Amino acid sequence: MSEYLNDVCLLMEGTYPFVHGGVSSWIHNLIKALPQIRFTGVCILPESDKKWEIKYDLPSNFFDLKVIYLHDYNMENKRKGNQAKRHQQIDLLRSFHKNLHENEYSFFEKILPIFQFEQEKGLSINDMISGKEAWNLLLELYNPEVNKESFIDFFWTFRFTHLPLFNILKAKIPKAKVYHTISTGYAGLLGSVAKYRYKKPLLLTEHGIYTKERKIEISHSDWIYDPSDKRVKINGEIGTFHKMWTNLFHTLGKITYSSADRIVTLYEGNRQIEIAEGADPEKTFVIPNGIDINKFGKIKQNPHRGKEDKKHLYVGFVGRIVSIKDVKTFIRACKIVSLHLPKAFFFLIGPTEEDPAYYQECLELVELLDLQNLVEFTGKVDVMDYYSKLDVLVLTSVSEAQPLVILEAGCAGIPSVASDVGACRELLEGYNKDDKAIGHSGIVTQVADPEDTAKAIITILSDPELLQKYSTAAKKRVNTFYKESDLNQRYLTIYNKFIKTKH
Amino acid sequence: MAGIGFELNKMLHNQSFSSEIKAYLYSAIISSGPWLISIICLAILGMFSGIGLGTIEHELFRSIIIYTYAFSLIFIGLIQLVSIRYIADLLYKKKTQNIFATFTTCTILVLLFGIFLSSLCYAFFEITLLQKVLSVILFLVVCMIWLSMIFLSAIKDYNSIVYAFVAGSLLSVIAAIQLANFIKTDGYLIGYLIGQSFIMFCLLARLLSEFPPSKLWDKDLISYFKKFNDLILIGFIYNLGIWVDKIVFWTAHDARVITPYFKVHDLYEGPIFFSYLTIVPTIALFILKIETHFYQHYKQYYEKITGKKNMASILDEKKMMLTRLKESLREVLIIQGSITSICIIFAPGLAQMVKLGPIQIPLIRIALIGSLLNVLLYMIMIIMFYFDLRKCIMKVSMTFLVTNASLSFLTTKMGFQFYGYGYTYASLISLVFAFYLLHVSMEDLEYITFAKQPIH
Repeated sequence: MSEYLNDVCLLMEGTYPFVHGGVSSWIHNLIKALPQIRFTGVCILPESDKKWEIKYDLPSNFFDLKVIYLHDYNMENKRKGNQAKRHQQIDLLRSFHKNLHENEYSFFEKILPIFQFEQEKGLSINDMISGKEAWNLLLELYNPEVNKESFIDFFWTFRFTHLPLFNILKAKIPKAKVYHTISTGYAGLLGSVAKYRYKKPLLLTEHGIYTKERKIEISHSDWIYDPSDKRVKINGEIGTFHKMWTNLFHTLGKITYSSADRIVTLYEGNRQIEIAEGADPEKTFVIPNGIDINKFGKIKQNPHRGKEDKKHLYVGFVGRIVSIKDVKTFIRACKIVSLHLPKAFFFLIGPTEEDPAYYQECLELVELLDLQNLVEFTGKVDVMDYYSKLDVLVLTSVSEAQPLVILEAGCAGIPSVASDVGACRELLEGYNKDDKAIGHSGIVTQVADPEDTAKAIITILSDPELLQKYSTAAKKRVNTFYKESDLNQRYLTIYNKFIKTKH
Repeated sequence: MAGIGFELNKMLHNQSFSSEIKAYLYSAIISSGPWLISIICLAILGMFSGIGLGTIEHELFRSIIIYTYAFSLIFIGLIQLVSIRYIADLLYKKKTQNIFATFTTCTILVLLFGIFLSSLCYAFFEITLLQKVLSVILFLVVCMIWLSMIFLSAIKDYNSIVYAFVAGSLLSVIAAIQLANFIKTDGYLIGYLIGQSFIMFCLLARLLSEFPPSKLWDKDLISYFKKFNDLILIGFIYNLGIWVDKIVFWTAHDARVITPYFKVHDLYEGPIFFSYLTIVPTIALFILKIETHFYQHYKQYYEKITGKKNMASILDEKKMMLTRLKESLREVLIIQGSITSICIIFAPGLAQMVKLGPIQIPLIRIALIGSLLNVLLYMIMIIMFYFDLRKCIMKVSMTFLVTNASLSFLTTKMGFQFYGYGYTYASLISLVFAFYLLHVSMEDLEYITFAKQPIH
């Protein structure tokens, strides 16, 4: 038996295999697609008082799943370290914080030995939480001479931003030849710890931009004390304590970026954001999500697609009926289209139960616009049945990463109209030179703009030649760049390269 | 999208700054009150010594009373601070409907262990069976008085305590003297017991009117005993520390046996008890000062912390609070210093007044200084209770117990001219130590306050 049994250790935060979702499915498919790789994994979950069930049928090449609970604090360790040593270690943390202020993140490696709680040489968690030296550091960071903010909120924010970190920093991580974190944040931090502790390469795949997502979540949370009036936020600025939280996630992101050997993201737009957030451009590259070409390529094409002699022109919206998809913009666009193209018929394909209130509003809007006879909400159905029917796919989301529906439709030869969010433009116009050469496979529209959306739909539906051109380009694009099997092979290549590297 | 949708809300749910610290003022009153009251009582009875009773009989009676007070206080010390804390928490959470259950639980504990311990001890004493029974009952009644006082002072009802004591003590004295005419020591004891029972029933009636009866047993109180086991120890050590010099002297070679195992140390006891009386006004004054001057700033300090103020203004408030504290201590020192000085000067006259011999005058003087130091020590401990510095209080109580016991023992070996120095030096050493600990703790007050905050 070799020292490192496992090839790849996946580091996941609140996802696989406990929580259903896009990222979890992606992880599941990746493991299944690479049976020659021996995977292990750590999943970070909030706390143990909730019962967490494994929601996926774990593939046979996935071993020894480990769970870290972020908010389970074990204070049993009352040991006090040697005082001189304690001083020295807190001094190290002091330098670390100073470095953070100067945007220097490589110092992280040096503070790691402090967190080996189990060993005598580390600081105890008791020292961290209630030690005098740690308190002095906290006070310095607060800076009483100039800081006019509430001290008690600073204290609690400081404590609650730091406590979960201890659980990550002291965690026992399974040994593997490569560490692969599926986000920055806590999982990214865990990856950085693994990289430096075991001197192994770290790969980061970011689906969404973690820091950005956390920032939105934090700015909407009302449990963080904000000294300015809570309700009236004219300038959109966030309070000091909101800032402490966002700073935490920023820092975690930057530490992960600086320690990762490769940074992978789904599309070019996100790659640019990562670079702006401090990722080294040299290390970053794009591996998009792919689809199963065999499955979607099999869809029988409608021979009459877009032809003028067709009785109906089918416009399809595919997605959950929720506000983030901005279904109302789609419905308004439907009205405009229906006025120009009486033959048009509209499907809204996707589950309606997630946000019943929003669904109700959509129904009312349909009625208000007198579209009852032209619009159909299908509810949850097998979208495959509709792909053979549709003439054009429409996406009006206000936020997306890399929507797979565009690829699925494209594989079936359906052109798309999509709002300019996430990877939509890249998916319809190409992301690099070769891809761009294929030509457009749809039209990108303004976000939340029914008129622009309608215009694009009308343009495609009233020009069969253009539609055919887009259709061909879409198929070619998906077959060339978004084949799931090819993309999995790219991960395999990276893994193999890392596994062979002597560190 | 990746990431945890963790309920960050939940984490800050615990941020309410729980402070039960304030409850400790009341503990102060009752930890000082009882032993002072007991001395006053003895003093009153002492003035009537010899009326209708022979010397031996009176001395036996007096010994029973002193033993009862000494050991009941040490015994109650075990539960005193924990119950105070528990009651304060109940009042803070406005759960007063449970207080009676707490009281009955304490009563059960006190009576159960009290009967056992006192019967066991008195079994070896060479007194009549009736006297033994009466002594055991007296012990239990006095324990119940202390217990009722703990509960009554928690609701700050000092008036009923004072009235009950004045009336009850008067009744004790009168009944004791009257009954002594008929049945000697037993009568004296029965009379005294009647008065004390009267106090007990007054306090019980007051308690019942304040807290309606509920359950008999309070499980939560028992969990407090586990959680605050240091308070059990502090209460015990503190009260033992106060009495240990007397106990040491009872074992000295020149102590007198009245009847086994009642002992009296004629030279030592009187001056010490007398010197305690001189600090009564100071304690009253200090408690008043604390209530008015210091407490206001103390409250404001914590309000600044919980009221989301910045560190600079928190530190400003601490400065104010400490200034007030120093002022209060200084005023007390001036007043108590004057009283002590006057007493030292007029010691010969005073000695005559309270029927102490001229040979005891130097002892009175050194005991007066000891009591001055002791009252300062006591004040610092009260302040420590305010800030919930339980570790410091433990250290100081322990220091006082150890020094008072060892130095008193040493003086019993060194000879008569050194009597009282043990108590005085023990007070001095403990005072300096307590002052140092308080000083350090005040420097680190914010740290102590925040570091103590639990995570959950």
